Amino acid sequence: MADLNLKSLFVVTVGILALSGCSSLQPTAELSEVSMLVHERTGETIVWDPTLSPPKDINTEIQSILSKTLTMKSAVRIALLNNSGLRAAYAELGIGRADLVQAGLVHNPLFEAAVKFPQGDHQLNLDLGITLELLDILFVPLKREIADSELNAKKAEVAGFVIGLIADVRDAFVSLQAAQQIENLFEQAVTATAASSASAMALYEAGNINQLTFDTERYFHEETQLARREGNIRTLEAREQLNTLLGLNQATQWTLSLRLPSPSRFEANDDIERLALDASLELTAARAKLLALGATHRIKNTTALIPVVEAGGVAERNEREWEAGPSFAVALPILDWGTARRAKSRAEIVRAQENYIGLQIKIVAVAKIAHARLEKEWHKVSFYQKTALPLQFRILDQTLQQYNAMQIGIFELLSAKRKQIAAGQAYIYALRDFWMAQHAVDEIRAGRLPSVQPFETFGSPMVSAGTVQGGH
Amino acid sequence: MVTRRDMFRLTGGAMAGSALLAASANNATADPAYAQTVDPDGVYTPGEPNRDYTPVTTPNGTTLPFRIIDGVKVFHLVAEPVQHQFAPGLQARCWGYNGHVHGPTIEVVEGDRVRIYVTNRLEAPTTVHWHGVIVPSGMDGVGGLSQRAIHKGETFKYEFSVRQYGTLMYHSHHDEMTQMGMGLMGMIVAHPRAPKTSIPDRDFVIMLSEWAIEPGTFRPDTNVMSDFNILTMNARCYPGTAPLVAQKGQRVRIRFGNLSAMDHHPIHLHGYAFQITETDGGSIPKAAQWPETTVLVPVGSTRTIDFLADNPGDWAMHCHMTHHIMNQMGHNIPNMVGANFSAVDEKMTGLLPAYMTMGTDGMGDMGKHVEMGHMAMPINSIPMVGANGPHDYITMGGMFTILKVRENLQGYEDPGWYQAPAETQAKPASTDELIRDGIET
Repeated sequence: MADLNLKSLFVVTVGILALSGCSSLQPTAELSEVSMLVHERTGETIVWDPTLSPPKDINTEIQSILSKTLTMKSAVRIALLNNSGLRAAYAELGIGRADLVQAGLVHNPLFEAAVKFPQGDHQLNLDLGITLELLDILFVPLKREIADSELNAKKAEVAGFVIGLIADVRDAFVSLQAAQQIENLFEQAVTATAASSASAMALYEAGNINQLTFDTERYFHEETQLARREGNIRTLEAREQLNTLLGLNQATQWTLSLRLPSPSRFEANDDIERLALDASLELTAARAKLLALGATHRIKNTTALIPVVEAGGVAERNEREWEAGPSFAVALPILDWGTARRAKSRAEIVRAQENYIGLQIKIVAVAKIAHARLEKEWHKVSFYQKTALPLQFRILDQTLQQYNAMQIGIFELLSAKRKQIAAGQAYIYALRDFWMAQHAVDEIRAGRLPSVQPFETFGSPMVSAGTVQGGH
Repeated sequence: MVTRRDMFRLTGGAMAGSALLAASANNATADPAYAQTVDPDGVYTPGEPNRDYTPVTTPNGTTLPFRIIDGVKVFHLVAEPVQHQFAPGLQARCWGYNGHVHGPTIEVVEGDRVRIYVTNRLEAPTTVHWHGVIVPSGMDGVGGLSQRAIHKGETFKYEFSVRQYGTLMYHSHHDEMTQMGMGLMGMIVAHPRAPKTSIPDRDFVIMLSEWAIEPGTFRPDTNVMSDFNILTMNARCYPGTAPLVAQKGQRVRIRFGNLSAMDHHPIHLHGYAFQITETDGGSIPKAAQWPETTVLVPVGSTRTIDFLADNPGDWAMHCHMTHHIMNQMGHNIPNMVGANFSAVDEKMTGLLPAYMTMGTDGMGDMGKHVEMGHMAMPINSIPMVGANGPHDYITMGGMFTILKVRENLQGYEDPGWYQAPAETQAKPASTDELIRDGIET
């Protein structure tokens, strides 16, 4: 540093300035990287360049999508077009990009001028000095390294955010499908209890049953209607949840495909933990942040030794002669040897490292559980498909036969119908839970831990088969 | 060596002797209650059908064959599982004898020496009790009390002399509720050696019993105490019961036995009055006989009725307990009669398209619906099923059969439906008739 001359100082400065001037402030490259990564891992495409203002036809496109029955794919597309959180996330890339550009800049040089008025008629003494924070210049590469790492972290985080959003939309979509199917089954259940109630009314009016039996059937019908209202609310909640994710107004009209698809197979994935670790965008971000911390630490190490080095050029016109030469100002590390700052940055690195290890452990655990959960839900769905529903179908069929044979009455027949409806609802919940578990596994494989843990249990309103009245 | 004759003396003879002694001690009549035309100590040649007696007819059943070995009538009963049909559309895995449910009628003549081998081909141990037959105690067939049970694969020998005549029965007396519930029973007819009354031209034997067979099942439920839903004559329920066919002018005898678990049966015969002439205890003196149109046959009893078939026609003969002339009727259902279900039907259309409201105007059409296939029915079931009659649907099932008396018969097979002379046939009243008689409708 000592042999730094004025010329080289200017060269460096000008060079840095030139470089900074060339750097774009638009995170186009970063966005395209994020976009590619998201596409690779989810099959979904980020559909417009959020660094630009939204294209004029975005609303047209959304309207055109909404005019048809919404599918999971088209819902995700709307979210990618229209989710405001997503635009906020994209802004992070702009921030990172700007930080990177900023890191290439040094503080503006300080220009000093001093005029000395000598005694007598001596000419004015003119001292001109330009001072740059020398370390500023020296640390430009390190600072760029920090900003670059941080931008990398942001890219991973934004990609993770998009993947998370896609998973959330998919979850919300199946939740709404489930809620609608549950609601439809509630309608059937209410028709069944209405038929029971009407039967009780007819029998009561004919003088064949007493008030007790009549009231019991009626009461049950009222209860079922209350349960249906619970089902209605769930649909409303699920719809608003999806509306929020799609950035849509409550008043927006749209319908979605009613039936949850039934999965035909389940792919066991023994390697899920390795896949989760390899794909984890959170680990990528954490690694980038560690690198940034490392670079920060190197700066702190240096600045602890030489906290401030100011280099400057001083030009002095003395007695009509210009004398020019470099100037230095060094703060001597006498009072602050920088030990505390170095210790702090070391501790920060240790903290980050430990968090990194902790994150790895968490990813492995979540991946394992998510996979186990998916397998469980698959078995549950299979149970309903292969066993429960066919059995319930046959039970109702046989019950109808027993009714036809006048071995049982209409109340028992309708109770069997309600049991079948309840089994249908249980199947819908199983399907919903299967798809949510599948989404969680997909999300983990795409590199993101599910924002909603897949082990959450949902309140599930269901039809009650009730007790049978009206025999003797 | 102890001869058969000695055996008789040692057993029957000794018992009769002591009975006489006891009777003398009480200074009462020496005559036993049971009907008897033979000398209890006498030796008789085995009675032969159509020589010593007119064989009975067991509608839907059969008579157990025998061989005569050294003057002894030898029978062989085999207790075994039998797939039995109660009526077209209903069968069950039952237990019976010699491939039949109930077992074949054992026909003997008073004074016969009989030896009955009983082979057990059931998984369960069993015994055979000769119900109402006066036998030595060790031959009485009560499991545990008179003998040890006959185990699977074993054959026991029962031997006794018949010293009475009348209508008797046989049945398992081991694990009674199960084994009788499964069908292990049959009739015994002992003909008098020297009949005191005229021998009937047609002599029918009918065992009354009851079963619990849930629609869709294939096994009588022997745990049931009172919910019997199949009521049978000779283990058949109408329309599975064969008619009783007689020619006009014939003397007809019908012997009823009742081994139902829990029900007596008042059997009513249309078109006739009859005399109740015998019970399983013996014959009723002429002076004590009552004319009846309904004979109550209590559980564990037999009743014999006699009448002259002088009224041609198709005559219903059935238990008069209305539940007993219903096949597989369910009772745990709401009373639907008179209810207006139109509001319900509307709701059911979308919910259960195959649903049909039933019973609001009674159950009369039920059997017809079932037979015409209007509704899906549980397999192996005949709920409320009756039969198509000559004029309309017969809404009876169960313990119901038809006595068919005809002027001219070619044989005793079913002669078909009776054609009532037009002037004796009920029919819709004509307007002229209504006006003539001042009937306002």
